[in-house]
Amino acid sequence: MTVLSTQVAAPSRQRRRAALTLGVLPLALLGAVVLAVGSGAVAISPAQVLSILYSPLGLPPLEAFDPQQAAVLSGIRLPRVVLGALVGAGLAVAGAAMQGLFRNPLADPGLLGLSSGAGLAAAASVVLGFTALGPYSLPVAAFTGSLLCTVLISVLAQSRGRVEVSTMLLAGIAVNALCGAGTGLMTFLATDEQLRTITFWSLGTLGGATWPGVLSAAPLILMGALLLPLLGRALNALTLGEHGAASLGVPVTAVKWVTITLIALSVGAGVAVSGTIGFVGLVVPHLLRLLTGPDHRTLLPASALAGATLLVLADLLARTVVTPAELPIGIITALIGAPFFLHLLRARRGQERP
Amino acid sequence: MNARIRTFHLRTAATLLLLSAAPALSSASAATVRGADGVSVTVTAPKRVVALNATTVELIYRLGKQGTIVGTDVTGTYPPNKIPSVGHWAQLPAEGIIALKPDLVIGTADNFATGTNPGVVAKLRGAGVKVLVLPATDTGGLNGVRTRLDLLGQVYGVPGAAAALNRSFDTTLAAVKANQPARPPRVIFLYAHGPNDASIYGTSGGANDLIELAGGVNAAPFADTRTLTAEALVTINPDAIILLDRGLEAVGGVDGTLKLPGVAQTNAGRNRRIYSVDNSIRWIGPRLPEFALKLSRQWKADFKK
Repeated sequence: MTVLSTQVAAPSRQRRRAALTLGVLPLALLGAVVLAVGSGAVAISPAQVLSILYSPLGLPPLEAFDPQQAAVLSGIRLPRVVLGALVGAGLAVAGAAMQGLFRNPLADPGLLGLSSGAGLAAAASVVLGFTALGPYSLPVAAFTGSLLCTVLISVLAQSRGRVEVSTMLLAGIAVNALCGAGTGLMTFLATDEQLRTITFWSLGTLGGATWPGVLSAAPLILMGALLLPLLGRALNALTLGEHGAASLGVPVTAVKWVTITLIALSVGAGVAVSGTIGFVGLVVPHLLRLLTGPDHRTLLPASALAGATLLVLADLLARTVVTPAELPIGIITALIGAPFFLHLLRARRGQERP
Repeated sequence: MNARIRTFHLRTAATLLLLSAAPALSSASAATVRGADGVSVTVTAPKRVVALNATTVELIYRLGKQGTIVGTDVTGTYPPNKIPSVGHWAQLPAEGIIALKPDLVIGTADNFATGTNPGVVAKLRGAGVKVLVLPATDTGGLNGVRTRLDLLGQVYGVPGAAAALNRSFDTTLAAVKANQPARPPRVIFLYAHGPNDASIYGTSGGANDLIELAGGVNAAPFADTRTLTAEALVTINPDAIILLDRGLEAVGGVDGTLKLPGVAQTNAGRNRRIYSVDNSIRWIGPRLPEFALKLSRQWKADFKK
């Protein structure tokens, strides 16, 4: 297993950069949210946005707005931006925690079967016609699928109360393959219409955002985004290996279970409401590790903030570049994320050469 | 789901009041039309319509109201037009549709029902946009087209034009009746994208309606769409094979079709009974009788005894 060693800058410089990053990122997120709330297919000026937002207080508006603009802003655009921030934060912090836990920079929540389990359950619910929960049927199925897969892989990787990280990796690969085959079977059985539903779900979208949906996912995602950063010190200790961490007094097994549970809940809830959105969990932590160094106490909260910012901006692109149509957001995150990632990799290799 | 068609409701007192406040509109009559989802919309000669379905667009053209369409989805390409598309019907953007400032959005039950469009109708209605849900396009055959045509005739206040179009279907269908093949061929509808990628349309949907109208029997032993296997095709042994125009082109014409696995070993393959129909047949629309007439004439000539 590769030990994380992306340390290039001297520790003191790194600490300064970390402080700067944690100071700048909330502002970046705020800026992204303001930009995203103010832009979209329906024109709503900044003064109108403000007026609509404070209209419940009964103050006179800065600029007159019509009821449709208010309905679009509060019923369609706002829940979407909030969901984007939540899902982005959840995916990125989970990716960072995952890479720390596995001491492998390639780890990604998908390894735990989160995406493939959700994908299989979503496809099965579409093809087998599970509609008992109305519009929540597909999200609930996806969430259940991702949790079941995570539990299955965690149990497979467990022996005498210990979680074997390398076994978990292999179990993850096998269970992912199994779920992929199941999804393939569902695709084969699907009608044309069902096939399109499955395809578009797997490309990801925040277009389905409604306040009830946001409120149902928010507690689970926030648990991950707010509690995982508290595990920073323990994950730092784990970079010394399990024995090393244990000798420092870190309850290794408990940390593993808590981390896996929080990842599963926050990513599972995100996948359930927005489909699979790739690359955020992998790219964001890497980018920040280059900026702030490998200290998880900085990396985890910074990942949550940067992930939220990134997804809010990606969704802004998704819903504005081809108006009145929309691009699936998974396409944007991968299309921008992958080349950027490759560029970083090459730039870093250049630096490391003697 | 079958829509119950409601004839014009008398305007309510409230609408009357509204109309009297706007004398310019007094010549146009408001129609209350009940959609397939049970929700009624009241419209007065809509001027900006987003029509989210191929055959809805086509039917509106037939009614001469194409000038009102300000948006459609990826399927709304016939007759050829430059109407802005809001994207795929399986992922409809609520805000994008609202941005087109429609006074009416017309979709069908099937394109609003997909798992990737949760709450689109609710979001549109929540923003004060009127949404009329027509019955699904892949059920009900030509009667489904008539139902949708009647609803659109009411929406646009041109019930006479809708009725005339319905009568023209009857004329074409009478010609189809007069041109039935002496022996009903057993037919398979192949949905092909290329030499190695074809599936068979089952007994549900537009392809089946076309085959039966034209005087054939759908030989597919299943309802849904299944991948073509050579042995299954040889076992079914159809007398005729239909492809979409673009499918026939993609596999390389009739000669290319004969090279598809199993085709050469069927009656259809041996006698070169390969037919093609317009690409839009998958959505049952107003050209269904014309397509049926074309096929039945070919079959009448080819299947005499």
